[in-house]
Amino acid sequence: MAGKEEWSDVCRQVNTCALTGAAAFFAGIPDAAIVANGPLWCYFYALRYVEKSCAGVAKRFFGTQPDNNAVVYGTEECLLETLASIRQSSRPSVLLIENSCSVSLIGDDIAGIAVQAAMPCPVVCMDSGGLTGGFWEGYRAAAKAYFAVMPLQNRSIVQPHTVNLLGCSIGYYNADNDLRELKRLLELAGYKVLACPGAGSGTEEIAAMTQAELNLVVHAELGLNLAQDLQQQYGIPYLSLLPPYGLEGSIRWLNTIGQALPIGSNGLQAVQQEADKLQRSLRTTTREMQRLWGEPWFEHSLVAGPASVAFALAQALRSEWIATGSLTVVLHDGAAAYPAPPSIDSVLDGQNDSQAIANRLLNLAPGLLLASGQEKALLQQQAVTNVVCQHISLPVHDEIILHDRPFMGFRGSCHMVERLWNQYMNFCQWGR
Amino acid sequence: MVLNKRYMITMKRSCSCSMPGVWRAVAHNEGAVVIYHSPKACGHVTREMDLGGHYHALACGTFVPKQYTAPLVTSNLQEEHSIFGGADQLRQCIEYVIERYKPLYIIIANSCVAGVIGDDTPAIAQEAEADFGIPVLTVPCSGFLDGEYHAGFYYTAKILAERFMQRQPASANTVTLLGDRGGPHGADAKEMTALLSSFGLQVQGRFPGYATLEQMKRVPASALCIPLGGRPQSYDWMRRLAVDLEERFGIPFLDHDFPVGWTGTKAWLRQLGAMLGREQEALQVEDEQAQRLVAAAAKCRCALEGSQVVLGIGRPLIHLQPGWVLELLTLAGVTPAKILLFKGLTGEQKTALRQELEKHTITPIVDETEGEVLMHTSDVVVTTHELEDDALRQFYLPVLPPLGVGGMIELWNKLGQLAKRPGGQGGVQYGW
Repeated sequence: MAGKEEWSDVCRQVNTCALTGAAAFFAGIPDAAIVANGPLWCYFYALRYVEKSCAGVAKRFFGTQPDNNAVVYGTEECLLETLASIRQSSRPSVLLIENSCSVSLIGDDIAGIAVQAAMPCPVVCMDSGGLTGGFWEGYRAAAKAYFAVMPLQNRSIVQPHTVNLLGCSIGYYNADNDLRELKRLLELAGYKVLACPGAGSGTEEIAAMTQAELNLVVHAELGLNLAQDLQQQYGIPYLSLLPPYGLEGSIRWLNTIGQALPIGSNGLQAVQQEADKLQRSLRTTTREMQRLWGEPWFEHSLVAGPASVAFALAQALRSEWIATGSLTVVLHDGAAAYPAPPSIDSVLDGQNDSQAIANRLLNLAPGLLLASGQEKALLQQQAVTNVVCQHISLPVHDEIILHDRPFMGFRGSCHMVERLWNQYMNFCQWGR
Repeated sequence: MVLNKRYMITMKRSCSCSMPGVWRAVAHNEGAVVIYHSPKACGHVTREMDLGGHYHALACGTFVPKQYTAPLVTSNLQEEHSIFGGADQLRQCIEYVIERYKPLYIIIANSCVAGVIGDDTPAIAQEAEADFGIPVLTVPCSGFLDGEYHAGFYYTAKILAERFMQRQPASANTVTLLGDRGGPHGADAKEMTALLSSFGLQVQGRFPGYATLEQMKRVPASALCIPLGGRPQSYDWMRRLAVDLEERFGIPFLDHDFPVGWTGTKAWLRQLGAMLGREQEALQVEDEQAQRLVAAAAKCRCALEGSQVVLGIGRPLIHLQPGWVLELLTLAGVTPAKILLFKGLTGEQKTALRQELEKHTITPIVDETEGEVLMHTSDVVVTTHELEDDALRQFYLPVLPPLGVGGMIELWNKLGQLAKRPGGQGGVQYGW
């Protein structure tokens, strides 16, 4: 098979469609509206995906539902109908029109149709069906298209100690809580977050993001290209780091930011004080449990998620949270913008190593799985028991998080240790 | 918890895709492999749908581990194939599948992209079949074009029957179920098996799903086929399959959709009795079912006594036959105060619904806007769509109606639970 394109069983992979990725970026801009110019099936799928973490998005996410004739004669009629309805019912600050894959082949002049519809806001037009890729490709393309149409303010004023967070998305598991914790940590250290495009900032906040001293890339697979573009176009420097998991990992993250964007020692002292306090509390509590339950140990651990999440979380797992034998990481997006941290034993490409992933899962017991509902389902389907499972990435169908309990940062570290310990003790009682 | 607020979305055209229909038809048939001639994303969408099904089966206690799941491989169409065609890509993909999985047969489903490009998939399949000596079958649908989910499901069954079945003598009292209602371990399968066993009939298999090649070859030995539809759209396609099998192999079929509601169950039993020449047995089974029904309805009556119930409909007739819903409520002692037609319906869809509803009830039928106040003061809203007001007690009607008296009991139990929620507690009770 050498030299041939690699195919694999998609039932063993985690991804969505570029239509969903692009919609996720715009859904993360509260005053944006979205039109999926494609079949109801594709639209419903994308809507269902984003509304899980963005309640109410259905009110600003529309579908045109072209039929067979539209695929031959064009989507002008159904698109105009949808745009007229949006014009009557809402006042978005920006509108995304994204073509599904089959509609993208017709070659409709979508921008021309939008002009004809006299939309009262800027319109971003793009092809974003499966032909262009999956979630990550869609998100990146949408971010690029947004900034091409929506110019930012001149970088005449730069506020000291301010940052923007790039590459965050509602399309990641527990993203809201993580973002809140990142902002809290940065503020504790003395920084102010100005904007998070695609993750909660409105168009005005985004327009003013040029005032920030630094762009911080949280998830490189989503935000690195954007950071590079913004540096080139507006001269905003950027720093791309693995996201902060674990107490030490979070301090390391803040220290690295501090090197790029120096701040007085007070901020970092406050950060260190909080970390020390939490560390003492963690030690006391877990030691108490250790007396009864022993040191948690997993022969094999597998961490699966988007590259930034999987790498950073695996690193914290091994260096801070729990003792494990072999540590494998599966990258849902297939490739990483970062080198693998040295503490990871092996890295698998979630888009092309289906068979190797299946084998790893089959032989995981007794082990630990930090992954999505997909990997857990594969274990269940193969009747693999003796594995402690903890969700860290989407899709998730068997867990709810109601409280503000992040995975990242200091609070995230406590949360993860708590979850891992509780799971381990449950496993000792019921799982073996 | 996030609710889908999609009642405002009008289903103007097709709402599904034929490819998942192809997949579902053979997803658990040993030796089958499915190829989507599509972008990879289409496979991910199908997998996500299946993953929801996996967790739902776990929730219902019908999950069975180690069940065969056919590999789903996509030909990974990309933008370049829209110019040069995707035929070579598909050929290589077939070659990979044959080498890697050594399947007993391959089914190829075309995407809308393949349909627009115009690849000659049947010719490629024929060529591959000649080269490799295994059946490589195609289905005449292209994504959402040329038919929806049910068309994909039907054409897969048709081609399997044509290729693998031969006329043979009937084996007395054996039945093949046509279609899929939650798999062989689901509640509907149990209900149907119990009803048939009352007549001394034995379910020898299902078709096209959950069947090995050997089991498929035995289908023509069935004494009877029973189509499982549930709503007009699905029944039309399953009846068509039953007609095909009768014409080709002489297998008679029960020309009635599966039993829905009490009237539907009685009619189904009587028709089956008449067909088998066992009218007395049919009446006896009817009596037994009536006893089950009366006991369960009485419980629900108590729970709903004095409650004001409103029925809200946002699904067009093709997706909801309201007769069984009104009967379900009447037997539980409930007459809806009003029937509201949601604003997502088109004028034409509303007219058709009114005509159908008036055959079953004299309850006033009004547009949502006219009945909004009543809806918000009612005790229970029986609805086809989730509503935004979380204070409402909403009973969400399943898209597929429940099978037989067992299905009605399940719905009554849930309706009773909803009515008995303490205080003013609202929320949604899902009817599946």
